[in-house]
Amino acid sequence: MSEHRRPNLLEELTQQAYLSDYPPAGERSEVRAKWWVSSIIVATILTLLITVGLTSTRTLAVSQQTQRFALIDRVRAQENSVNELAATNAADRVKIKVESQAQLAESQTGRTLLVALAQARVAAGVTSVTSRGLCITLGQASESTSLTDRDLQGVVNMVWRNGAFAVAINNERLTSRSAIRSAGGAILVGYRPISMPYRICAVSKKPLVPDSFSVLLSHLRSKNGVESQVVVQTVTLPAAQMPK
Amino acid sequence: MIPVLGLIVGVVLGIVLKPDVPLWLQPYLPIAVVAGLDAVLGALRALFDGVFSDRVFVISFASNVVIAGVLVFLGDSLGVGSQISTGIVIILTLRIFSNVAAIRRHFFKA
Repeated sequence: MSEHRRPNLLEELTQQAYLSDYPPAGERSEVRAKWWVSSIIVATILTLLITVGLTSTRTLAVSQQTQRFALIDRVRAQENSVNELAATNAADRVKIKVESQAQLAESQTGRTLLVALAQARVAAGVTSVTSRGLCITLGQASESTSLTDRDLQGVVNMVWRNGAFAVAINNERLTSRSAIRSAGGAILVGYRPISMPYRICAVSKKPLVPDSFSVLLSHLRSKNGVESQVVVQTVTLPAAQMPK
Repeated sequence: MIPVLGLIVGVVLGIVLKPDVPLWLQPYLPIAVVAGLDAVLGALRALFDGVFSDRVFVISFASNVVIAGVLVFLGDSLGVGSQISTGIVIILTLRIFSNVAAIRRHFFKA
């Protein structure tokens, strides 16, 4: 026996691809008279396999698509019913307000209560407020301007500390439950993203003095490069949006 | 071209009968198709090389499909189903390519 180098796996695969199935080339071909019978059977099975494979993949895709649309429909329907319920809720709230005002206005204690209730509503952010107030606008001075949620929290806390009873940032009324946070590059107020320039408007019993913010704002200018502007004006703060 | 008749019958049967493939059988279908294609192209090459044998053809077709299916089943049971499927598809497509290359050489001398 002569020494042959054993071909490696890849060579074997490419050179002798079919030799495991058929005798080596040169040997006599053994084809029987009815070779076409087996050919027809094999061809039928093969194309049957291919067709079934294709159709089953297609039907799977179609059923997935149908399920997707059904889910989207359900989500839409639920959204609609939530919106309807929110509208009913708002209408009921108005009814309750009117009824309670009518009831309370009948007695002296009731009237005192009404005044306290109105103040509580303002503090809770349930009603909108229009009054003489102050607006601080924080804008971009240069490309390097950066303002974080912490900075915005600092300004808002300063406004509260100066006696404000209602505050809004970019027309988003703040309540005791709203948070100022950052998510990625954006700042969220009560889970709603807001963008530069930030406009913080506040209303207080005692008039707010623009000078009381000068230290903080000049610090922001030197540290973050934030352009700021303080204006005393009549402001309207909208009611806080009720969470759904 | 009698085998072409078989091809047409297969397509018609598949479309008319619309057989429902059970979910557990679906991973084996593409492997079976590739194994069948490999056997058919190997037969074509053998035909041009003058070593075709219908007995070998039928047996190789059946055994290729069955072995590929069994291997995938075994792989699925052992948790390496997709890897084994990939391996089988690589081997079979390599064989398909080399068979097609031989057929091409026979036809175009290139």
